[in-house]
Amino acid sequence: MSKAIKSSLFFLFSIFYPALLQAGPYLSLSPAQIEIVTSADTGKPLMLDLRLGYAYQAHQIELVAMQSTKADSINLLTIDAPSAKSILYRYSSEPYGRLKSYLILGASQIDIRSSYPGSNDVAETYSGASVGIGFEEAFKSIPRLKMKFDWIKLYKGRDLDINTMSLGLRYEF
Amino acid sequence: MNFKIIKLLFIALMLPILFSCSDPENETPLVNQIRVASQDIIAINFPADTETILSVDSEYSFKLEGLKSNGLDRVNINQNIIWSLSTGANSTINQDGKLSAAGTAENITVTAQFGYLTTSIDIRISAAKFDQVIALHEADISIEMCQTQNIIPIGRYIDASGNEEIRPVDSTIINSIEWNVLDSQSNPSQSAFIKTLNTQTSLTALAAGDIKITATALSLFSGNETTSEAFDLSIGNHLSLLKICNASASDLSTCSLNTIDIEQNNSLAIMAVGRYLNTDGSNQDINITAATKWGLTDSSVLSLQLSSDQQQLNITGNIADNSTSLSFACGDIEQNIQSLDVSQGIVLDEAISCAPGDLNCLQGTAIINVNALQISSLEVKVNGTAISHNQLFSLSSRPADITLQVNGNFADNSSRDLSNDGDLTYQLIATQPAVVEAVSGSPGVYRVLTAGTAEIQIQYQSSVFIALIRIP
Repeated sequence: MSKAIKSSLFFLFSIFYPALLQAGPYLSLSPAQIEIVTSADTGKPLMLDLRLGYAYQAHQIELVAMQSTKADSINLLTIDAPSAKSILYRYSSEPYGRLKSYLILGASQIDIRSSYPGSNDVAETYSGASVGIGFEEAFKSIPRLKMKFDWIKLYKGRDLDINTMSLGLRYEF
Repeated sequence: MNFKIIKLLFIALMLPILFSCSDPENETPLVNQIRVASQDIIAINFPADTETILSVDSEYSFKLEGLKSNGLDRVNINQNIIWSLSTGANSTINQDGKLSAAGTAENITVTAQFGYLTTSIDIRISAAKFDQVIALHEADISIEMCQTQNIIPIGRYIDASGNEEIRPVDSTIINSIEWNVLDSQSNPSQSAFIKTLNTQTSLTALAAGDIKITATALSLFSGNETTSEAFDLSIGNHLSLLKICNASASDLSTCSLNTIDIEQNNSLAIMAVGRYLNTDGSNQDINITAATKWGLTDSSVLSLQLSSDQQQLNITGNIADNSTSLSFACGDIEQNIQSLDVSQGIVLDEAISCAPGDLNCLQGTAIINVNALQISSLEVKVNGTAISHNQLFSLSSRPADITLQVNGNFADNSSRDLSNDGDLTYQLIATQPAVVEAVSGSPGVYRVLTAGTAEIQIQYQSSVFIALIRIP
């Protein structure tokens, strides 16, 4: 059995044996800026990013739910991202350090609404593979509490990209 | 059992990733809306001067403009336009909006799409070929001296059957027309000129009176160069005031300049403003720099240059502490300008004037003083080493001579070597015994006599630098 397969099985096995393998659930909360990028301009509504995840050593799996907090404007255009959902896998090459960086992979679905005088309102849902990077640092006084930053490309299309940038806190139970 | 659950979970995680893919059709409404909003426009249209009749085998570049959301302003749209032609058209159009007309006559529709906005225009590709200009403008022309007016020359086009078509001269032909301005006796006149820039033709009247204008161009119908009939034009004179203003002035009715102070090597932009009496009795102030004639009493003190759009005159000071008179006039001046290409602007190296009693000529003058460029600081080096003002500088060994090199920094951020400038003064502060003495005929060079501290005061304009040099 190859080393990679062994590692994968070890990781997946660990999900169901947290006590033995020092795994555990976590919760994170962040304000997030969504970037709706086109060649003409970029809309930047704000969202609240709530994540529930499970971590084991270098690996994390998390469910993401985002809710709009503030729409953005481009001249008379109002653009908003009412909600977004993602399932993400995060891998850190240095799981035991106080400062960690992550590679993020997953899938996302994000709703976009926009309105502009003289045109029909747009309400579309975009789904796609997601990729990103993240950084976090544990507080010295409360090691279970981390300050985290993520940049994730939620959707990559032909004429449209949707990214998110979030800066918030993660707490490991 | 656990392995089975893990496998299912792993697949559950990977499936969304594997099956997630972009949907370009889904993106279009949002992308189109952002595209339009980014330009802050709410409607698009073809400009009013868009040509709607084009000749066969010709090319024409369409333009598109957008109406801003304030409902008033219009902007050119240059990118992200999708151009198309009606079905069955033999002509073609590229995505830069350049139409290549077919070799045969046809009626087509050109459609431009920008974001979710679409507009169309009907175009006729005509087999008629340009013959000659038959009218100077599509409407009657009323023009005053020193004014400029855009004109749309009208041409006659003839097809193979001899059918005539009268329409504005198209953009292909308009640039090739040679315009001739004649006086009432049919002699060449400098009272006006016509030029075409970017397919826009403009008429500039330089002096009041009656003139004739002819247009010469190659007739595509006959293959011969053809000159039009002479078009009569009367240039009026309702100019009541001529003055100059700073080019940045926004209120042309109140601005004025009588005396101008500029620093040497610096420039100032001015414009000529003409006040015209309207038929309703009101006044209208217009920038008439392009049609104004300019002259200088002493052209060595200043240099004059019209801007490329001829909307302002740039004055540059050449010789400091000098003055000269700038003269400007509208109408027939006494000086001879027959050899000049008046379309390039009229700037003479001599004072200009109107003939006494000539009611068709207005003139004005302004005094221009050229001041020395103000110095902001002096930098001094002693035998190649920079020293500071009023701070003791100690030489490590006793040289035979001390050479001061002085550099001036000026208000316009320029700097230059002043060491040999006649306005720079060196004053050696006497000491007992004398430490250095000035070398005759070599300003800034001092012969070392003995050990001690030499103090030399250097002055340029109001800037003073005290050099304190300790000699071992």
